[in-house]
Amino acid sequence: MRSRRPPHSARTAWNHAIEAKDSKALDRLLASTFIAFDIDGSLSRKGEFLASIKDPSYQPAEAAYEDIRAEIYSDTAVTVGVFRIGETQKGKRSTQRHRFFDTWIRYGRSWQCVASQVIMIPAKQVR
Amino acid sequence: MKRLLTAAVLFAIAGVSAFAQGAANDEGGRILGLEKAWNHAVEAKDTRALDQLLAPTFAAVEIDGSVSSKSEFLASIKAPEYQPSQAVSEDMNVQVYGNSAVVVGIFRIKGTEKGKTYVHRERFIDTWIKRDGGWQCVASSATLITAK
Repeated sequence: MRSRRPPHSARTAWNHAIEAKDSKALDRLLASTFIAFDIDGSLSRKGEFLASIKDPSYQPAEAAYEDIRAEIYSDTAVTVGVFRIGETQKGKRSTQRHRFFDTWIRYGRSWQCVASQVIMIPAKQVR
Repeated sequence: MKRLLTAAVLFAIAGVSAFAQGAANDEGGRILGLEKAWNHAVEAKDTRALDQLLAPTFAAVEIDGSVSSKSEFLASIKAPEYQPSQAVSEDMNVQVYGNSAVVVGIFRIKGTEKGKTYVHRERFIDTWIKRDGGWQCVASSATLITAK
């Protein structure tokens, strides 16, 4: 997929919002119809997703992209990339690499994510 | 008079809105039909049918996090070791956003690969784009369901 810019900055803003547990910023980035599938296949809608970020037990320590590619189709964009997140949950520290897949819709001048899926990348996988 | 005019305007807006809703429902129905056609094509290993359903820029994110292009995806379907016996989608929900649509659901597939029988249930998200009056899938991702 070819690299283009606009959804990248929205995804970067998402990244910062997660690090800061800034659910207000996330609220602006996610469409009201937003739906997310987590690494275990569980489904959450916008309200549940925001609540999970706000949850005191969720403590993201590090969030960064290793790779992000976007394909834009007029007012729709698909972004695929790798997201590395270090977190402490219930006192346990871990770093995981996730493949993310987001679909964005342009409303006026801004992009909102309507769907996101995260897939755990096995430790040995290079690609 | 103003009230009547307001009522007329509201009625007209409601009519347009209902029309738009109906059109979105029609498009949603078409897309769900294409999702079923996709499953039939997988079961039949019909890469020609899949070729028509998938855009040239199609990208698939597999359950292990790997990404494949359209040609790689079609090659994996064609591979002799890939022997699906049943491909069914459940709990599909389609959201239409003008000329794009997002389908979420559960994909259940039974088959054998490299001599091993498997049954997978996967959460999927497919993104469809309407071009020249027809819909094509531009991206698909799947997560293996492990949650109870």
